[in-house]
Amino acid sequence: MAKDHHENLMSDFSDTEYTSNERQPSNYSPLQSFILAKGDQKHYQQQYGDMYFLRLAMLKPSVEEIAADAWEGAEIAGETVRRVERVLDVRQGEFCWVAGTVYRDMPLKPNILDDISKDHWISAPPPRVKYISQSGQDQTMLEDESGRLRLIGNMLQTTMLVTGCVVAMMGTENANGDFEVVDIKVPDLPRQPQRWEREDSDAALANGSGKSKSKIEGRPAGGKVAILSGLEINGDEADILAIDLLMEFLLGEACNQNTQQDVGSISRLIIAGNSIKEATLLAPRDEPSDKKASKKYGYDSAAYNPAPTAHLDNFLATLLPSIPITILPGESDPANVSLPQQPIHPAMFPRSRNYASVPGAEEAGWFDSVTNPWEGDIDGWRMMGNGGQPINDVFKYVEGDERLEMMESLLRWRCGAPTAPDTLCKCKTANPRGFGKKTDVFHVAGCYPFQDKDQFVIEECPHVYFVGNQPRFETSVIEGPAGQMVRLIAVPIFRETGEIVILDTETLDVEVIRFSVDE
Amino acid sequence: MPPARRKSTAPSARAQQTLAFSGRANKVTKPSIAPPSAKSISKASSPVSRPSTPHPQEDAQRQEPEEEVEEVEIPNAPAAAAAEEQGLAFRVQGTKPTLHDEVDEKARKVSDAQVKRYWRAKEEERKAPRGLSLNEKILRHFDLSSQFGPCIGIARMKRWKRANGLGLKPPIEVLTVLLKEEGSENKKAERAYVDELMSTRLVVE
Repeated sequence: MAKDHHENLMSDFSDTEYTSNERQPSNYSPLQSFILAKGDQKHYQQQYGDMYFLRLAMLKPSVEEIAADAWEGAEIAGETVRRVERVLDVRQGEFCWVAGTVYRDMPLKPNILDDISKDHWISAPPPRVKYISQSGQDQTMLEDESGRLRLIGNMLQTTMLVTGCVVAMMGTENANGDFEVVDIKVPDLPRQPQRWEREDSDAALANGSGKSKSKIEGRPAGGKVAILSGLEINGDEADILAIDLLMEFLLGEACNQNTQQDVGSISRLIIAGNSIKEATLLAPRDEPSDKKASKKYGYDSAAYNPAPTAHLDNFLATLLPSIPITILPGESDPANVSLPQQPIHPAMFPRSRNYASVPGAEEAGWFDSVTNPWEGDIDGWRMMGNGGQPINDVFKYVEGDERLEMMESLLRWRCGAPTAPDTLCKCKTANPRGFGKKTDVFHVAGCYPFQDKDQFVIEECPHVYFVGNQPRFETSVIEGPAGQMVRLIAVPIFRETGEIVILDTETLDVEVIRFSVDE
Repeated sequence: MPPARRKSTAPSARAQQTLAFSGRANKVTKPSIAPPSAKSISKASSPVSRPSTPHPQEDAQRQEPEEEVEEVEIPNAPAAAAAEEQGLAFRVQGTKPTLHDEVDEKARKVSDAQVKRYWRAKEEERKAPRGLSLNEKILRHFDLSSQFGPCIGIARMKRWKRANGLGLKPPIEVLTVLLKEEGSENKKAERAYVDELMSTRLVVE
C-alpha cells in the first residue's frame, strides 16, 4: 500500500529524538617557543655566527657525554683514543675524538653571487633539485670556533650529514691533513616528558605542593586529531570539489551515521602549511613598469588578487563553528619568509578571526594561528610540527628520498632546522629574462639570527612529530636510548593526493582518509 | 741574413759598451793568502760607483782594456774577506780601525737607563695616547676568547651573561670590570673594539 511504502515521508510529526552528534572536546595548550619579538624589539644587527656558536654550545655537552660513554678507553690498533678539546687540536697519527658542527661545502648550493650573475648574464642558473655534485666535488668538514677540519672516510657515505648538525667524530689525521673518520655519534633524542606532564606541573604549582587535584580527576579520553597540509588554494579555481568534500566530511554532513559518529571523535584540525598558493606570477623585479600601475584603494588591482585568502577564510569560517583549528604558515603562505615563520596575521582572516582569542590573551583561542615550526600539547601529548621547509631542504643535501629517515635524523641531531642559516628558504619570483622559464628561485635570508638561544634546538622530545607538504604519506615510530617513542608523520599535499591524516591520541595510531573526485 | 761586413775603421769613439769576460779583473780563482791591503779594503767596502767597464772586441783595442782593468782592479781576495768581516766583525790585524768598529764600541757603552730614557722621551712626543688601561686589556682579552662566541654584534655585558647562562664559565673578573665601566659611564667599553672597527663605514668622497 502506498502508506506502508512511504511511511517515512509525508507522515505526522513524530516524537523520536534523533541524537545529535557532539564533537569531542580537545585539550589544547600550545607553547610559544617560536614567537619572535615584534617591531622594534626584533633586531637584525647580529650575525649568524652567533647562531652556530649557540647551537654548538647547547649541544656539545650532550654529544660529548654520549661519545665519552662509547669511546672512553677504546683502543684502536693498540692506541687509546683520547678526547680533544678543539677541532684544530687533533694531531697526525693519533686517534682522538672531537665534537663540532658539520659543514658541507657544495659548489651547487645556491650562492648569493648567482643573483649578481643574473644581472650580467642572460639568466640565473636553473634551480636545482639536489645540491649534491655528481663529480664528487662536495666536501664535508667539521667546524668549531677554532677552525675547520676536512673529513674523509667511508663513514661519511653511510651516515646522513648536513650543514649545521652537531656530532662527535672519532678518527685520526692523515698525512694530507684530512681527518679520517672511524665513528660518528649524534646527540640522539632528548628527554621526553610524560603525557600530561606540563598540565600536571602547572596545576601543582597553582595549587601548592601536595595537592594535585587534577591528577586525581580522571582525564577525559582524547579524541582524534586531523592533520592536513597543502590545500594550495589559488585564485584561479573558485570551487575545488575535493576541498568541499573535505569540508562536508569534517562537519559530519557526509556519509552515513556511523562515519558521522567517527568524525565526531575528531577533536581538532591542524593545517600544516601551504594553504594558499599564488598561481599568478608576481611582477618581474627588474623590468621597470612601462605604465604606472593604477593604485586604487591603496593597492594595485592588476597584481593583487584577494581571491585566495578569501577562499581560505571561507573554508575556515565554515569549519570553525564545529571544530577548533590550528593553522601553521607554509612556504607559499602570506607570512614572513625566514624561519621561524610568525603566525599568519589575523587581518588575512576577516571572518575566521572572530573565533580567535583576543591578541595578548593567555589562553589560545578556538582558532589558533601559530608559528612554523610549532610546538604544543594536544590531549597531553607533546606535538611538534612544521610546514615542511626544513625537511625539504635536508632532502637537497642527501642522496635518495627517504623522508622518514630525514625526519628521524632531525630529531636525533636535536635540531629542528639544521640547514637554517645556510640554505633554508627560497622565494619564487618571476624571472624576467628567462627564456621560456616561468619561475626562478632566488636565495633569501634563511632564518632569524638568534642571539640568546637557538630556538631550533630540540630540548624536549615530542611524542608526535609531523611534517607537512611531503610528496607522500609515510609514518613510523622511532625509539630513543632512554625509551622515548616518537610517532613520525609525513603529511602529503592535499592538492595532489587528496589525503588527510587522522591521528588517534589514545593509541597514537595513524590512518589516512582520501578524498577524490572521479573525473 | 745580410752579408757580414768587416770593420775597416778603428772606432775612435766607442759605439757600444761590452762586458769584460777576460783579463785579470775577472779571474775566477781562489783568493790568495796574502793579507789584503788597506787601500783595497776601503775600495771594497765603498760601493762601486763606476760601472763595470765593457770589454771591447778582441780584435781591436788591446791597450785600452789593460788600462781599464787597472783602474777598477778589485782583486777577489779582499772582496771575500770584506764579506766575512761584515758578517763576523772581527778585527783585521794591522789595519786602521774602521768606522764600523768605532760605532760598535760606542753602542756597547750605552746603558739600559739611557735606552729607557730615550724611549720615554719618544712616547711623550706622541700626541695620541698610547697603551691601554688594565681594564681595557682585560676586556679585550675577553673579546678575543673565542670559546665564548663571536664578539661582534653583541654588547660585552650581554656576551658575558650569555656565556654564563650556557655554562661556559667566563671569568668573574671580567664581569667586575664590566660593572665598573658601566658605573663610570664609559660608553666605549660597552661593545668590543673590533666590533666598532668592523661596523664603521668609510665614506669615500
